[in-house]
Amino acid sequence: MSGAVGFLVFFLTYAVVYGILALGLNIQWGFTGLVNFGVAGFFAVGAYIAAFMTGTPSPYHLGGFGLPFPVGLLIAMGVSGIFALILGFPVIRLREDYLAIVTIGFAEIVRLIIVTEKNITKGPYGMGVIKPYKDLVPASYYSLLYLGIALLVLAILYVAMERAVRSPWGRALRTLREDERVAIAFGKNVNSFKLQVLVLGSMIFGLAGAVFGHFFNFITPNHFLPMETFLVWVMVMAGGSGNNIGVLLGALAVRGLWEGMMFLSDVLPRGIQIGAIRLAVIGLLLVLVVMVKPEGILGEKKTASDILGE
Amino acid sequence: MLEVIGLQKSFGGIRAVNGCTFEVERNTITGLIGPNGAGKTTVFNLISGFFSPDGGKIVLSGSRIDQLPAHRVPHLRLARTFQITRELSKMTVIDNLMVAPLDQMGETLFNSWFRIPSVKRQERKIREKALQVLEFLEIPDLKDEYASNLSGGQKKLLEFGRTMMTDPEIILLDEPGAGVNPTLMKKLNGYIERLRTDEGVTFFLIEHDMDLVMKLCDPIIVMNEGKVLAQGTAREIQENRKVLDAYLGG
Amino acid sequence: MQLIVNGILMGAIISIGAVGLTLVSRILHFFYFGYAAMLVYGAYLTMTLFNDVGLPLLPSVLISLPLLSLLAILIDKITFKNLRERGTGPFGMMVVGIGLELFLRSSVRLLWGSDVMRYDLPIRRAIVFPFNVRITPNQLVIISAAFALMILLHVFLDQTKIGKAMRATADNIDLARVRGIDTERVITWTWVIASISAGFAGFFLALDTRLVPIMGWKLLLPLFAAVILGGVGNPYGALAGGMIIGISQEVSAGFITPTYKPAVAFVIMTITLLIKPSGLFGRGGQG
Repeated sequence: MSGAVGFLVFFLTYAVVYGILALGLNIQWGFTGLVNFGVAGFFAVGAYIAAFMTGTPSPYHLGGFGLPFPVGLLIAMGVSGIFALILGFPVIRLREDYLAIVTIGFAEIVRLIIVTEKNITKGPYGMGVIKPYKDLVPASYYSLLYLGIALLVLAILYVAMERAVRSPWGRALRTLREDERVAIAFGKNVNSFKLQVLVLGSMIFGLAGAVFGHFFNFITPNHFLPMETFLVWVMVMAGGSGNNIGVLLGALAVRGLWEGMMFLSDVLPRGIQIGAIRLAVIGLLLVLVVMVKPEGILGEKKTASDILGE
Repeated sequence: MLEVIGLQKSFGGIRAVNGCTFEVERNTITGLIGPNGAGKTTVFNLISGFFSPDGGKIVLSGSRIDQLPAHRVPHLRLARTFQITRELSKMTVIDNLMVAPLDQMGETLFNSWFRIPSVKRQERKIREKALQVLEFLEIPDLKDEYASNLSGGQKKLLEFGRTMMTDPEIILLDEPGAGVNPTLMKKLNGYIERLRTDEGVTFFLIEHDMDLVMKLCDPIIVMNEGKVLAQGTAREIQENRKVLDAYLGG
Repeated sequence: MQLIVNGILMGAIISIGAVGLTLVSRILHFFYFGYAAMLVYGAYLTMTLFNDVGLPLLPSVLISLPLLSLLAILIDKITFKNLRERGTGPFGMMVVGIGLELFLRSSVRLLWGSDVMRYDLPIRRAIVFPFNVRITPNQLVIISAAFALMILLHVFLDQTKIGKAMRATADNIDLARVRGIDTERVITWTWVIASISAGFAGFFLALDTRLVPIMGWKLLLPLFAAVILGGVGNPYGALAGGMIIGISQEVSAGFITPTYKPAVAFVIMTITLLIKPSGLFGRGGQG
């Protein structure tokens, strides 16, 4: 494949990974109003768990257990879900701003553990992740195959999420987002709903991590900085909280902006760091979304449930 | 039907409710009045489980409810409205109603993915019920309107309708008349009377509009400084010296 | 013993920073992540004045503080004032604060570069105290200056009119408004105090270690832990909370891998939130 096509495939695969993350955050924040600033933490858990599960045995890190790729994805989701359950069980009742600080702290601790426990994760040196199904196609077409796999995962997830929220369950989530006291006054167990959503969304972050690891084939703690969390937040808030298509478009647009800024390095004077510019732009976007368009580009669908086939 | 015995609740050293005892009889429209700060809304929040009492008992249809988590209380067939309407603004009117019924099978993730016939059947019933409620309240045309687009009075009706969705035996209304024009108020009175006579619903309501209370409620409970000051028919309350003093003395 | 001394040093830095953060959190009613960037700006502005302009160290710090205050007030006027008038909730404010933190931190990288820097001071040998406790002269300066600053802050909050108004507002915003306190003016002063607090904390931290753009973000978790432990809005609680967090972090290094220090702050903070969200010294609890 030529350079330009290769780059496009790379860009799209990356966008798919963030699309998965955005769908996960949308179920938490967009539909339920649950604040999670620990996206990067669950993302990391998923990536490392999948790497352990599918990798070849190594004395330098945990595993690998040589399991098939789909099994790795499922276990990555499962372990992320368990992390969410352990974290969420005590803290889910906290007010949203406290929850924000606790979840951001959680993600930082996950990263600290990855950096510190070198025997398990190879620490800051990073660890390799296998390319699944790499014998199916010639090496030069592999990235295209993997884009297909990633897209398939995203498509299945999208259908599952749409079906989940267009239901009485989704209607209850919207209720507790709009007004928790009303939800309680009508018998909804608010903490249970929140915990379900925390776990479900975090499993999706874990899935995204696994898809990311097998795409990048190399993961280090630096792939999971707090900035990743806010990148996903920008995607969801700008794209339109509560609209799954909106957040996918948000993911594509923000990813495009991110990659696009790379070309700035040709224009800007030497010594200007592209990384700093990127971070500044993301920061500015967060400020602007809240100040100018808090509801995002696309609004949410009017009717809560489609269970009766409307 | 609803018994409150020696209820206590303090906030930061201030006794909002201080040994409050009364009973709401089945199939009555019982009014709760009193000067500002008498503790009326706190009593409502204690009954509906939003606050847990520091002391005393609350018994509903024979079972104690004062230690229940707030989301369990509605299961004893108690529904309430709020002093300032709490409509779900970014949801349609019909969704505002359809979310209210308890024990919806569709409210699990599993059932939202695998929509077995019984889930759909229940959902269809809930929808029919919601349409009936809108019909009863004479606002069927508003069903697909966002709740945020309703007028103040329509929001009051919606809140009232939401309580009807749960087939309650007792409804707690926190100032149903506040901000409602006289025409609508008359209608609301009619709905309350009809629900009481036709469905046997008990009403317990806080209200500041004395004309309304005197006309609608029997008996009336008067609270002052966290305690019950008097209880009786409209006439008895109007003639009660202590009540007059409480209102005039502030 | 050495660990406890390190803890007191770290505690002093956290305490000084936490005072400003607790007042901002309470009076502006949200948790301001951009506070981390204020710390960093304080440290870097001082560095420019000292290393490049060539002023002595103390005037460098003292000049950087009004600059920092102006920057903070300017940012407030552009962003938060608007949001306050529109009635945006604490969460929206918090997101804007995070955006500002990312933006400001990047601007530090663009203005000063990402390389590790330090103040051009001669490196002096540590003084050895009994029990083989080693303290560098810089650290002695930090600890004594921090305690002097705490006393000054106390005098300000306890004796001046605006200080009292600030504490009253932190206690109960609605009541303060009813009593005719001009809350916008209190907010402006809160930014001034926050700048002094953040500026000194950033300077102390940079003096003890070195300057990197990420230093503020790394201190943010312990700072929030101190604020929550002390009770949001309680400046004295923040001082005590800062000491407790600082000492626990450093002493923990005696038992567990030192990289886990921030985890200690996290655990203390989370336990506080679960058991007593109003903090050890009460009063706060409403962000």
